Amino acid sequence: MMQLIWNGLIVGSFYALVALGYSMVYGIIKLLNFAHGDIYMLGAFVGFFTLSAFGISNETSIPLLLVILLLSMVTTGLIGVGIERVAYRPLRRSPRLAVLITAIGVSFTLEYGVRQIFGPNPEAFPVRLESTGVDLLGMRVTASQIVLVVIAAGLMLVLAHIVERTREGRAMRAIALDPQAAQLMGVNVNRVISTVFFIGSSLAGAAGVMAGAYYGSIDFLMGFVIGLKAFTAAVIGGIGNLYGAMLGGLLLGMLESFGSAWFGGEWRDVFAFAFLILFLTFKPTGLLGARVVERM
Amino acid sequence: MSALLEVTDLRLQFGGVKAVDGLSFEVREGEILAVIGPNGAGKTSAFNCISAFYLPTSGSVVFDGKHIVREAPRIWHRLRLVQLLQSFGFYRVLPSRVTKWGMARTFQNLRLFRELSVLDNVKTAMHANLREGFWSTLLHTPGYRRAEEACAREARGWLDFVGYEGDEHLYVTHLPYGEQRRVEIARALATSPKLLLLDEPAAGLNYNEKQSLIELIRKIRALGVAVVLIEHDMGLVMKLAERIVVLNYGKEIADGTPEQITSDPVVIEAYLGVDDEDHAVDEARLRTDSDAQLNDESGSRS
Amino acid sequence: MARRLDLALKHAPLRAPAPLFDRPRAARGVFDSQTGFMRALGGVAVLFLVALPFIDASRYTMSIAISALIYVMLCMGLNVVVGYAGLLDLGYIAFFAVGAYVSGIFTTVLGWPMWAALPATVLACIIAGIIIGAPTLRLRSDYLAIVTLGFGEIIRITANNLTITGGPSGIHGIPSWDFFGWSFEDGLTVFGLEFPERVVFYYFVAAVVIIVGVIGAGRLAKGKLGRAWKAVRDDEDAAEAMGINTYVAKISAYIIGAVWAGLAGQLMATHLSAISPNSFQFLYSALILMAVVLGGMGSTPGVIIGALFVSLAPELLRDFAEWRFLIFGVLLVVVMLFRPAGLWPATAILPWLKRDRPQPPPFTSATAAVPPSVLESPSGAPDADVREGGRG
Repeated sequence: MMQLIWNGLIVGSFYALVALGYSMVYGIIKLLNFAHGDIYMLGAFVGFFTLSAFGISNETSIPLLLVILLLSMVTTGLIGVGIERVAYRPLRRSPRLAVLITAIGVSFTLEYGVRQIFGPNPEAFPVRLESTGVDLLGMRVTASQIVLVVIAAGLMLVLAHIVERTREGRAMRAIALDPQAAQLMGVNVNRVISTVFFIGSSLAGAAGVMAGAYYGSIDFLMGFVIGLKAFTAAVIGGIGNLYGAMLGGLLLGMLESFGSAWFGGEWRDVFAFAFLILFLTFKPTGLLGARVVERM
Repeated sequence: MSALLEVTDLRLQFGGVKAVDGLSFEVREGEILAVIGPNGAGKTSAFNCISAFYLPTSGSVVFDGKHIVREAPRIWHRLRLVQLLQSFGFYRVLPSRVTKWGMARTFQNLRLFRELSVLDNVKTAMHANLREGFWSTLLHTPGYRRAEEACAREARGWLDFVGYEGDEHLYVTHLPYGEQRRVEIARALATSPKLLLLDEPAAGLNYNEKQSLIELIRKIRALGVAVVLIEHDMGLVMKLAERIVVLNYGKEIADGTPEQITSDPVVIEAYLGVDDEDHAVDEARLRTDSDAQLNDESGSRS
Repeated sequence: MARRLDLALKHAPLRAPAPLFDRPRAARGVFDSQTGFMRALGGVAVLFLVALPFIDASRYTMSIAISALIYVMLCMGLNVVVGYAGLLDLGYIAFFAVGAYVSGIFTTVLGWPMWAALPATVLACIIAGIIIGAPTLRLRSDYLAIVTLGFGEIIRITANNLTITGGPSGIHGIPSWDFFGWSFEDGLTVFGLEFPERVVFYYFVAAVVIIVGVIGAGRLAKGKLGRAWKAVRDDEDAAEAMGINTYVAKISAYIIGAVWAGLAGQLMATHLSAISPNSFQFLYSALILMAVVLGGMGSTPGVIIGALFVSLAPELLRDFAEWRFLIFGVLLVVVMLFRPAGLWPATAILPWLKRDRPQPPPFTSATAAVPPSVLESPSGAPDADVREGGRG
């Protein structure tokens, strides 16, 4: 029981990190960034590439992981900004369908671009976290798991601080409410949107590195399912709401962990997606989402 | 004459904002009624409630003997499931159903089907009146051909009626603004309404276009269709309306003939505030105010 | 005549006055009118389809031709959903899977002949369309995209996990079509010409189904239902205000799309005689979407071109097979950025007909309807009628 909760928490913190980017981008420009899951994958591959270039393999040091984490975050953040600049910005006034299709194209490009470079087979991630653990309250907890949860929690706290306390964060919230009015008030909308993409993508990149270190193997399609799951998490929490994304991620992690315990691991994804459909049917605004009055 | 539309104590609340606050009025068969009021007075919100796009917080709307606002049993209110049930189509009337009952509307910001031709825009509005089944469409039976022919003839009749003289195969986005307004009215008429709601039909029209709009609305009335219009252009309202309802802050503050309204002190106060400057100055300000509002609105949707 | 036309309309309280003038008859020639030209083009395409086995009846050609036809069918179905109704469906391949699996199970496990499985396939697809559409079509379009994607994954994983669907290895030995003891596998000899099984299948089933599918989808799009779909795509609220129940319109588009995909699935099951969950990955949903977007959403010729491109490109560019998906991804972005309406847009007018189209009427044409008495009073005069005058 406790073990299930703990496992759910670990997976859930990955989901939450990716869901945050989804939710932020959706909140600010109402775009489902379909390629977000692939940024997560890119994060893992950036870490893999850097470490391989230095000839490092099978390391277990936590400081090294942190360095790689930072590096991946910056890189994926910049890639995210680049994608926004090239593919999404020219279409900001287009119908939603067009932007969504573009996002699918970007997702394809990233996935199969990585496949061309690194090959279709899974790669072993060079930094592993040791799996020795202690028994605590009836659950098995490893040091690496604690490190992951702490890093995830730290990143979320930093994000919450940025959005709630800084000038930039205020601008983001303003644009989410009304981009035109924000622009009239002197907010540089393009720059703020770039910032949002940077932050969201770097969080996804961080999650990718952490997942690589946790599971030990990465492949070019690893972002697809987690992108879907993160979207589910964002919807459960209420899309556009940051705390909702965190809550939704953790909740989905738990649900999956219990769901696979009850129905069997092969039904895990079915369980999650069925839950998404049910949630959208009965409470499309999510747990913390505000009721949106559709203006005519 | 009997009442075609009865609105009683209509209330609509968005969070803490009372957009419509206890509005009551009635529309008789075949009359032209104008609803006026300063910006943000809740005119369009009331329209949206009447045509069932918004679900009002309380109140009743009866059109042609049929209730447009449905009461949900108290138990669902208590379980807070009303919104969910309404989103599934329970305890509410869909706008499409209201249209089938005979209430048509236009929108404040033109909302034509952009990727359809002028003719197809009008044909689309005849959806509910067309006998055309799935198999007959697939097989192009004589019945289908007849229905399409009748549909096209009817649509062209409406286009001629509103005085549209351009090519019917043009895409609506290629039309000038005034022509688009005409097509929108033709489209609303094609649903074969008993009551036509026009939301600011004169917004953004030039002088000549406004004059022909006045003619058109009179022609529509002559068909026996009641017309309710929201309008800022007082000249047009005074010329057309048989009765005027004035709203302010979601409440009705006056209801009467144009002569009664212009001399009503409450209305003047709502429009001009309570300072006693020279009357002529007030007039001038009324003009510039509504000008500014108008420009603002036409610019906001680009 | 007019009375018979009136019978085609339901009783409505208000009728339009008769049109003021007769419209000129539409041009009918092959090169003088858009429809005439498109019909001629369609006729040429059908002729080519029929003649193909006489040109080259090798196993390889027939196999490619059949899979290209299946792609065309899928794309026509998705075009109804995405192109006409404007609903982004990212799990479209799920309906393809439903069709393939239902026909596969009915013919192998229950031993039905293939033609008897046809109604079962159609029914299963209608039910699948309602199950997935009913709860989600109330949602906004972008939510719908992800939900359909999730649904596609659910179908694939379910097929992978159940025993009746054969698990990861799928279903084998699906029979071909047979009627009263004669099976397509026997081949056919007419007038001394011998048709092998693949050619007979190509002729009598694939080609006919696809021709019917393309023409049917095109006709539906032109009728009342099609106008309702396009109205919903362009402006949902306005469509609702025009008396169209948008929910019903959307779900009917969804069901039609599902049935088209299901028929394509049955065709594929008979063509390959084996199916497995791997043929129904998200990748293929995206490929079909790619074909529709590239060709032009809502445009029949465009969608056919897109389908042919997506299905034939890997055969023509063998050396680039590895790069295929990367190229498709980049192409999708590029098309959306620079030619969002596709290669052959739905609104395209044949270039030599363009100059015949009258220009939009001049802005002042409204003056004609103004009675002279009104024109006499100058704009800006102090009386109430024209006070708001020259505002325009």
